[in-house]
Amino acid sequence: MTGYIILGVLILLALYVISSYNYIVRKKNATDNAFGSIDAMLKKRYDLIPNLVETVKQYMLHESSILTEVTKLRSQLSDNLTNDDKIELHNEISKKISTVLMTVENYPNLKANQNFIQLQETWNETEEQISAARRYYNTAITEYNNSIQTFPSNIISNIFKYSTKKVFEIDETERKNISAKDLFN
Amino acid sequence: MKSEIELQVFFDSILKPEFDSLEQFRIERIKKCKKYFFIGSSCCILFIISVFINSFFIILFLIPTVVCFGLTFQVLFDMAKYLKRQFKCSVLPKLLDFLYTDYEYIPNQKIAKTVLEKSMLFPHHVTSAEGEDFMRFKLGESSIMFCETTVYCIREVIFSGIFISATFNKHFNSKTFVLPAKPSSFFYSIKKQLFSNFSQVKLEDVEFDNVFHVLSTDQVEARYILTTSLMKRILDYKNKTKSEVSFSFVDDRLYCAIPNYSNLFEPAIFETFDFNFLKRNYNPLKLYTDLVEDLNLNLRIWTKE
Repeated sequence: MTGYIILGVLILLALYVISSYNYIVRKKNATDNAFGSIDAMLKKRYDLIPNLVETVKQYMLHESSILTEVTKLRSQLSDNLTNDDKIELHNEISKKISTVLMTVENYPNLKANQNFIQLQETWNETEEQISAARRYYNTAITEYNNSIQTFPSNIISNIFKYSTKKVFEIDETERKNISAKDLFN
Repeated sequence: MKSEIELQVFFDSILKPEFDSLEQFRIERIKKCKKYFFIGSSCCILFIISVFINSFFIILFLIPTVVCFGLTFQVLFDMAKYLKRQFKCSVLPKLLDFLYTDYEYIPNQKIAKTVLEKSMLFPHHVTSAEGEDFMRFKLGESSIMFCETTVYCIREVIFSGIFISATFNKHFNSKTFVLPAKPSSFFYSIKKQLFSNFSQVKLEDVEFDNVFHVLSTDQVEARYILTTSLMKRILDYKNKTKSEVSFSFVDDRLYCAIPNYSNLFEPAIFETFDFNFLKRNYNPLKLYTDLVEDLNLNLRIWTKE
């Protein structure tokens, strides 16, 4: 009889370990999937940069150094980089482009250029999509971190060496950025 | 939108003579009704007395009783019909002219059943729909239309209120729903019945998450639509409507269903035609068209024109 009880407890324990493990794996995969969304949006923005730089540099002679830097930073992006490095580089590019876009007011001809207007709208759209993807990523990360830090699933995560992931944080300079709408004013 | 002072000036200068004549007509008819009703009631009492005393005059009192009550209802019915027609065909267009530059108003038009189905806001199959007071506006870059609507599934009413459809300022391919989180709401049943394949979207705004239940076919696009500022705006709009408002974002359009069980844009026969009556009709008009401004739908900084 005792043997059966022990066997029953062991089976329940095994079932719990399996379901907890699967739950953590599902949450981890969700974070990878969420990162994939960010990556896709970053790629979209990456593809926009040459066009934008090309259009802008014909008018913005004073901002040529920033534009050169943007091109240089873009060339540094490669698949060999870690996710964190990739995002950091993308953020750096985004910051520089935003600085450029904020000075559009000084270039009336550029402001009226249809191609530029179209590019600027696409840029705004992509920025919002990146922001949305980032919010989804952060939700997925929070759920994953909760799943591996709460008791008793933290025991399973420790056994299988799952560690917490960092949520995306917007740096201070980005927080102070003017909204996309202001770029048009 | 015009201020209350502007509305008062408009009322005094344009609508007052018309309102006065409608009010005059209403008072006269009410007086007539009272007269018929009084004669009818008197005859009815005499008829009852005749029945009890088994008098020869039973028939003599029965006929005027029936005639007078019939006339009372006939006068009331005709008056309601006339006031409604005058209000919808003459007063309301003038008010709309004053408030909007680009609009269309068709009193007997309803929103097409296909549009209601497309919104996917109704948990059951839409068998039929009734409606009136169809209005379409062009407000800046956005166009918005709304209509008093009653939606039926077979013979059961599944929605009664205002149905709004407006152009949304962003492109999207997914379907996203913002439904009241209260289990008591009839929209709650949508989750189980229609959207079992949709996933729940957990948003960062705790207050929004408590008030609404968000479902979508695309987690990222749902957040692209529901930015932090739009969530705040939706919450404010919900508080403004004071009802369990629901939204859906389908095919680049925003749909909104606001339950409301009172008949809008209708004059009541026992209601005075005055400035307060105008205000009671102006307020819902403003509330529904304010959706464009409140949700900032005219902001066009993306590729959608």
